[in-house]
Amino acid sequence: MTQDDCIVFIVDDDQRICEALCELLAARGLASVAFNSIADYLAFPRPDLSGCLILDVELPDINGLEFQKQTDREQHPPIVFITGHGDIPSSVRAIQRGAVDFLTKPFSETELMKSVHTAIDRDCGVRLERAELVTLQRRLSSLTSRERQVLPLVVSGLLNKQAAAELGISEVTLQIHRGKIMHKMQAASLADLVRIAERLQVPVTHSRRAGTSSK
Amino acid sequence: MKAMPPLRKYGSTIAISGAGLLVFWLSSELAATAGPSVYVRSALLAATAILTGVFIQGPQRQGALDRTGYDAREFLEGIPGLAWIVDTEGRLTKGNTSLRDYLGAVDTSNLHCRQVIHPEDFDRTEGLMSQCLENGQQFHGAYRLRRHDGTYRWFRVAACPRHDRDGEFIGWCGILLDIDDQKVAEEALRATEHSLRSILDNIPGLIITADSEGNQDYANKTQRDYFGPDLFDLSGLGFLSIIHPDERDGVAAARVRSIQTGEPMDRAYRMRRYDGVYRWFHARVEPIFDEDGKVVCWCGLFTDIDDLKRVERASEIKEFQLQRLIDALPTLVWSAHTDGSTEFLNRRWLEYTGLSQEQATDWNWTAVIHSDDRGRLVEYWRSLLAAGAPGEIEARLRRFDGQYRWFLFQAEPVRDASGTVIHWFGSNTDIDDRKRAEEALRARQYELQQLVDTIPTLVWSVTPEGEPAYINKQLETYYGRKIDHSQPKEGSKLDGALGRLMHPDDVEAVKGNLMQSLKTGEPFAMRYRNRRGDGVYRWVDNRAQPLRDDDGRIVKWYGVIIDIDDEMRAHDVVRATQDKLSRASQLASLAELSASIAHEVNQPLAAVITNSHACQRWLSADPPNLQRARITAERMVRDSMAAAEVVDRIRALFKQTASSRTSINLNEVIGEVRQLMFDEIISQGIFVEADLDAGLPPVLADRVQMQQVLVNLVRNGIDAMKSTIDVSKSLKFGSHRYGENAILVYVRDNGDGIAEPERIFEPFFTTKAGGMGMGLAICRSILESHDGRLWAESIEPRGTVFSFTLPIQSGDAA
Repeated sequence: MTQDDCIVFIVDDDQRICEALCELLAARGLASVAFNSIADYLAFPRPDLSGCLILDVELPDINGLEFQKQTDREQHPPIVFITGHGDIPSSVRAIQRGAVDFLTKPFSETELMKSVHTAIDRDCGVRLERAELVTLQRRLSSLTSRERQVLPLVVSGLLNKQAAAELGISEVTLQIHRGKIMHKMQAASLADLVRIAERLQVPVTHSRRAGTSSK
Repeated sequence: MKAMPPLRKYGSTIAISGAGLLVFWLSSELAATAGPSVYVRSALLAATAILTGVFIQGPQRQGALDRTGYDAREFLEGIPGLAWIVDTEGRLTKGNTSLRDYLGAVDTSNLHCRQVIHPEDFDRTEGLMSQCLENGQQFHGAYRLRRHDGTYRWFRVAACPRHDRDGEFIGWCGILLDIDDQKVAEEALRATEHSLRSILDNIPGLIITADSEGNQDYANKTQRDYFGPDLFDLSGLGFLSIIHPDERDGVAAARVRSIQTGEPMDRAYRMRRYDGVYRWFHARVEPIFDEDGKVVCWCGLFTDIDDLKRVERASEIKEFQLQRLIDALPTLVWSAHTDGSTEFLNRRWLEYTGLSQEQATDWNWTAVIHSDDRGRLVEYWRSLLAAGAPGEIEARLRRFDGQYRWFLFQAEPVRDASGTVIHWFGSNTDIDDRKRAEEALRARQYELQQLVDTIPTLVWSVTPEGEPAYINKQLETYYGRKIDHSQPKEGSKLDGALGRLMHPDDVEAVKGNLMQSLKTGEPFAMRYRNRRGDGVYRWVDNRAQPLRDDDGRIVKWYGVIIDIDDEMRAHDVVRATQDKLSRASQLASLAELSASIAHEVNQPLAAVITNSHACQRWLSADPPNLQRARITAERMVRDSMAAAEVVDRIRALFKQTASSRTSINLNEVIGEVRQLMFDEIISQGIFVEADLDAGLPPVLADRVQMQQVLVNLVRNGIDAMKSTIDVSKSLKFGSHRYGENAILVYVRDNGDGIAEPERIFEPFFTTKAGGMGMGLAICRSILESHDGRLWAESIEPRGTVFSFTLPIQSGDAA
């Protein structure tokens, strides 16, 4: 079970821990890079891969929890904390801020690997979602302005006739626009288009029930 | 006229003429004494009487001549004057030879009076004569008559009207007497009088004359001007009204006395001027006596002395004020003659001594000088008098109530322009209180000196420059020497002193610090080794502070030296104990220690575990990655060793072998711990008490571990009382025997108490926010290793007591 498209970052001031973790992750087929301080980690040009950050709480330059609090969740892979002597309040805080796990040294392989995989999976999901959204946005931007006017009316569930009346165009013209939208957005069905619009946060401006031109 | 007997007929003529002659004779006699004027009057009267007699009997002249034998003509010629007869028209009918001689060769017949009487006098004379004629009176007058040479001379004239038998007026007969010389003299007299009068009027003083009764009859112009036109009533006592009411009675009395006795009056008083202003006058009124010594009149001179009086009064006031000042001076003031006798003593002097001015005259003032001081003072005073030099001396002066007080006598000679001493001025100032204060001060100074010399501390002082100024007796004894006030040959005295009195190793440091303090004024404090008089070096604590004056300048440095040698030695022992305990005190904060132990051990342990997992992975891989497995195994060995090392280090920390157990008295250990924890206890405001059994038997124990246990228990107590605010914090140590074979030591606090007295000894049980719960567990294990016991109990109403027991050292175990 090798995962070439992911990477594990390790930050611990104890070189022995770094070595051991790298060795274990290597034995489990995971690429890893170890740092002795946050500064070293930040200075490293990270590859655009899904991954995980194993972070020691007690660090020479900045406390790991503090670092977590200060940085944007989007910019770093999910964090797995490791600590020499953890306490419940700090672990709770860490989890609340989005840490995957809070492990107290010495920890078992199972615990660690489970947390690492969870983290990587979570990162993968986030990345996938982010990539899909980018694709959809690209498609949305390929629409003409008239098509962009039509889209909210269609996903709001208006009948073609209603939508055409709304825009003051013929039903035939509207149907042409609708066909183009479906094509450009690569939507298999109207339901698919509605889902896409939702993800793109296209506003639903009309309700079918409310009748014609209510806001 | 009817016929008369001849005697009667001629008798009258004879009588009149006889009377005239008699008068004439008398007048010539009188003239010698009473002066020409009387003579002239009398002569004229006599001559007229004679003429009257003659002319009355004129028609019977012949007969008369016959009867008297005296020729009337001859008689007429014999009159020493010019006799004449005029008719009613004023024409001369007869004149005697004297008249004719006077008038000269003029024809006297038909000569009219007008021709010879001075024209200026004629009309007046004529008028007067006709008036006399009407009244039937004789005429008396004076006019100027022209002499033959044409000059006019004054004549006195007496004339009678003539009547014939029928009583018809027929003319005048008269006689003239030359009074021209008199007239000239009179004129001269009048001129003299005028000039005298103007002198009187212009004299700048008021001049009066008064009759013998004192009634004023003359006032000069100055006086009139002074009193003004509404002159007072000069008669009697009227003048009193213008005298100032204050002096009026006095003047009146003086006036009466003068009039009665004839003594002059001489006094000063105020008189009212015309404008109502009173001015001072000096009045001098002298009597004028007649030959019999009777007062004829009074004349007086009043001189205006108002301005003078004013000056006088001003100086009087000044003198009065000066007098008052001298009397008011809060000191005794006097003046003396050049021979040293009293001249003046001010009121205070007299009041103080209770003597009168008379009682203190001459040298009698010495009576109030204290007998012990008198001789000295008098001798000194005489020496001053002889030398003429100012001086002062202190002596006791007797007060009116008999009490003697100290005074400062000061005397100063006063010299005239030539430098000769004319007076002595002096003052006596009460210095009794000052003197007493001085004495008290001296006594106090002596007392302080005694104190400084007696207190068991070494005291010294140096000048701001660092020159030794003073060392107390104790320090002299300590050093075995006094301050050498002679100037050293080289270097400052301080250098010399420091070199002699200090351990050679300390001299430089002490000198440096001292110089720094002297320069900056910072207090000096230093511990160093001092050389005692017997050559032994001893540790001392030397502290000095500068004494500053009001301006902040350093006046002197004062220092004390405390011998701390014994203390220092004791301190060394304590320090050694502290060193031993330093590890124990680290232990005391077990919270941090255990955290760091955990970290130290966990790190390599975590690495070992992780590596072992990796190793497993490499070995179980297909094919097994032996190389990587070996690497990980090596790392496991390495990290396990590190962990073992940590454990070893920790063990070493706790390691106290049984061999360090000695026979100790726990009371001593309690004392040491109290000393060690002193700062902490004090800073928390905790009151410490101890109930130690003096006869506590010794135990065989590790001293450091016992200290460790007690430090822990004390810390626990302090922490338990941290939140105590409603009662005063107190910590109590106690020790006593516990049964036959054991002793018991307890530490009691009045803190919050504990809920579970047994659980607190379990490892990692803690009630403290930052604790790990190791302290009491270690304490218990230490005691158990000593075959003792440690337990805790809550006590009412509050607090906890920790007690431990230890077996008493048996005889053979030592």
